[in-house]
Amino acid sequence: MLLRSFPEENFVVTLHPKWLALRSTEIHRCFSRNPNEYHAFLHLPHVMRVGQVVRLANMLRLRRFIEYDKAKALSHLLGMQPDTAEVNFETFESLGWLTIHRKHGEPNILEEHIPLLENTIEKIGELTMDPEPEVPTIKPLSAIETASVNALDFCARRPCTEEALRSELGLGDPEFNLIESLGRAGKYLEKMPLKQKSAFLSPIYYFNQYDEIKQFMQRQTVETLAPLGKTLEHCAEYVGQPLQMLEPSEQKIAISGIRTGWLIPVTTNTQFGGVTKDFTFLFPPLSKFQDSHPGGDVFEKAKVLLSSFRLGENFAPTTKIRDPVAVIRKLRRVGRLSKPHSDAFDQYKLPASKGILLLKKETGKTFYTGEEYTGYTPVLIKSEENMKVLDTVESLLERSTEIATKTLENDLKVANEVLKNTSVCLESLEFRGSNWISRFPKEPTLERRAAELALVVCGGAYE
Amino acid sequence: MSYSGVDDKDLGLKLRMMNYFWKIGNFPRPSIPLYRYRKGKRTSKLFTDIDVLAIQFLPLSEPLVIVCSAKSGKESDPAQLFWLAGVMNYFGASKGYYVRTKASIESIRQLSKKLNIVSLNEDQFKILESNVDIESSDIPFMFTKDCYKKTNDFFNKVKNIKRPIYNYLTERYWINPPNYRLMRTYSCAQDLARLNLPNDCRLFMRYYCASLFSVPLVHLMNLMISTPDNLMKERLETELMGGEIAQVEKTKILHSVKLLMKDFARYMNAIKSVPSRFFDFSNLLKIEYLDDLLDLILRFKQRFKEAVFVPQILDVIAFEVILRRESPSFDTIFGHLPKLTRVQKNNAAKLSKDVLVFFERNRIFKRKEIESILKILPEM
Repeated sequence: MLLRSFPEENFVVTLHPKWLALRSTEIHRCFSRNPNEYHAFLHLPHVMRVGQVVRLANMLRLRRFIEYDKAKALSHLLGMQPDTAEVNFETFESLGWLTIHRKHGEPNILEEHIPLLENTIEKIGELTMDPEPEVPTIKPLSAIETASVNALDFCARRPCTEEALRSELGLGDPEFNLIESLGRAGKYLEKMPLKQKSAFLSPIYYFNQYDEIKQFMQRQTVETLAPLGKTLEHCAEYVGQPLQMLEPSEQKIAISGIRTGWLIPVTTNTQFGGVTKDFTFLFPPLSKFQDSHPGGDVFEKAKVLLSSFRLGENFAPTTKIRDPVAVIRKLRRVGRLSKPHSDAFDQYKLPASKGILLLKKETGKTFYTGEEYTGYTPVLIKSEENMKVLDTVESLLERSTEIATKTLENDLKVANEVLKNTSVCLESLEFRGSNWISRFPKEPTLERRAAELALVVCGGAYE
Repeated sequence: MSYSGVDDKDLGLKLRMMNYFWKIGNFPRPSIPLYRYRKGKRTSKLFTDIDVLAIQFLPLSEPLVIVCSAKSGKESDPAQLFWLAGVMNYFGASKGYYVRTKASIESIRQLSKKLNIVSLNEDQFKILESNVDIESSDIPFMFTKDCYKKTNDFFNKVKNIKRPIYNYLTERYWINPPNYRLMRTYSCAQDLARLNLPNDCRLFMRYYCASLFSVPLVHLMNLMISTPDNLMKERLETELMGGEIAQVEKTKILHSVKLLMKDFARYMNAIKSVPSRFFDFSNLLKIEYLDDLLDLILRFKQRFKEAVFVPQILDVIAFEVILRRESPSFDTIFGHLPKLTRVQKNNAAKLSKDVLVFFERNRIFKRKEIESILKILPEM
């Protein structure tokens, strides 16, 4: 596969527009909570723009009408400055994805017409390859950006030696070193020793590979890999296993898996009873998640939602969720969890920013006095993507043996509390790129073994 | 519907019937001819024609069709009732209207009832009109002779340049199944965008096509309402093919052609030099706008109760805004529709805009041609 793309030398990018945009989105996600974000904005500005735009489109889709200020607040949750958000809205208007209704000349309401996510990704990818004058904010990628995207795409499909990567990218030393340092900063390209050479691997390689890894483990007699296999299986039996609830020895193995990539983490920062705590949930790279695919769960919504349920099942302070399946079914059937809250809009940051729920202004009545009040109700955005996410999450949850009706009211309340009080949720790529991963202790031996796993599963690096 | 017969002495009566059907929530069209077809091609022989055809859309249900014969004469011939019953059967209509303004229809009352036809004379029709608050001084532009004549002019312009489009929109559309209606109306709209017509005519005709396009769209939505979202794409492809059996048949035919061509290439000793993509006909079954259509149907499905008003809304836009050259406003559009709640209006308006955006996305409209409609903000 040709990976060269230097507009000044008239080489042609052969990456399909969908994959170009998807990889750009993944790089953006790696840098979105990253202290080295400025590196990305300096050297990969258009890649970051692509990632932002795709993320914003995914969040706004099927919201129908959004007040402009609220849309800017939602964009801020995605890490956009207000002026960047305004530019992005105007970009969407040029694409026909938004109508900006103005009042006295100022933007007032956004009306969305955003297409399916896969088509959004493809269109943005096409614009980077073939810019339109009507959409001046989406520009072609520079040589370094194209090489970074191609390097990620290459290493996400299989590990490859440094020599092979250099050859494929066709870069000089300074440029290659820059690609390498960007990949290291964003943690989407990892370098590892390989006999007398070095190889590059992306943690994205592991996505959707659970069956292959499991089959490989089952054939092994090597003692060093057995603990990894056991931990992986444990996480597959209880998908969304909280890291905190593992035995200390198994935690070390899990952390090595997180660092290497064969265990996928989602971390939430939740406030319960005035105390804020981090919780990390572990996911095996199951193919049903459809990660890292233009038509799949690009933003890991299934894992985010499942983490919320695991949080409610295991860590809610007073009562815990007993029957998460019933909660999912209620959400799918009715589209909401609770009555209106008079609390502020920003209490549902997590699901709002992920495009799972929107907040609908409604009137409710207080229980005891029957007084009317105006509040916000979290309502499910019934996009085809979210419905697929609910199906995936339901298939991974276990039905309680208790009669569902007994616990449903309580479970809904707990689920609602979790979503209300979780302000931050880091998907796996965001987590890997953030400072949070540095809080975990390092286990070089285990990490090396885990990295070698990738080489053995795919039969060696591309040379 | 041909919008022909501009000088017909019964035109006024037809327009009154259309207005009445509109008021009770139907989507009416005048003067639909039925031609004889031979080996799939239309001949010049006219079987008959229908004065007014109306469709009523209901959520979660097949659309109800009404056919109407409206004349200002004295005749009330029972034979005509049987003719009307035959036409009802041909269109799968649930009801017929037989209007003879100067006739005494007492003698045919029992027969009408048996054939599920409503027989009316002038006095009885006036009673119906007053029941739905129709006043002769307050008739929407779209049911006036002026509008009818303008529409007729535009249709004649299209007829002079591209007769197949004219024939399809005026006649064949009404006898096609929903999948063909959808795809062929789309093709007509695409072709109209490129025809050398006056700007106002080209713009009106495309909006008219958008309105006709929404009729089978609502029908398809009702067929697929219970389909899980993850299976919608597959189901939509099947419905557009005409159903599972038709899809399988078409796939088999293409597969047979592919095998035949490979055999031929082998015979000519050319199999190795011919790239395999020349034998891949799967693109022939591919609908280029399928993803956008899927997005549209998903949006319709989410608001299926209000989706049934979309054909009427687009009709109002085509006639009252575009043809009449009025500036569009929420009141202009919804003033002509049966009473809806605020939420229903908002949802229906949004869906109508989504149809226009679908056309714009597929380059049938330019942005500026629909901008004034998109800028209408509903009552929030």
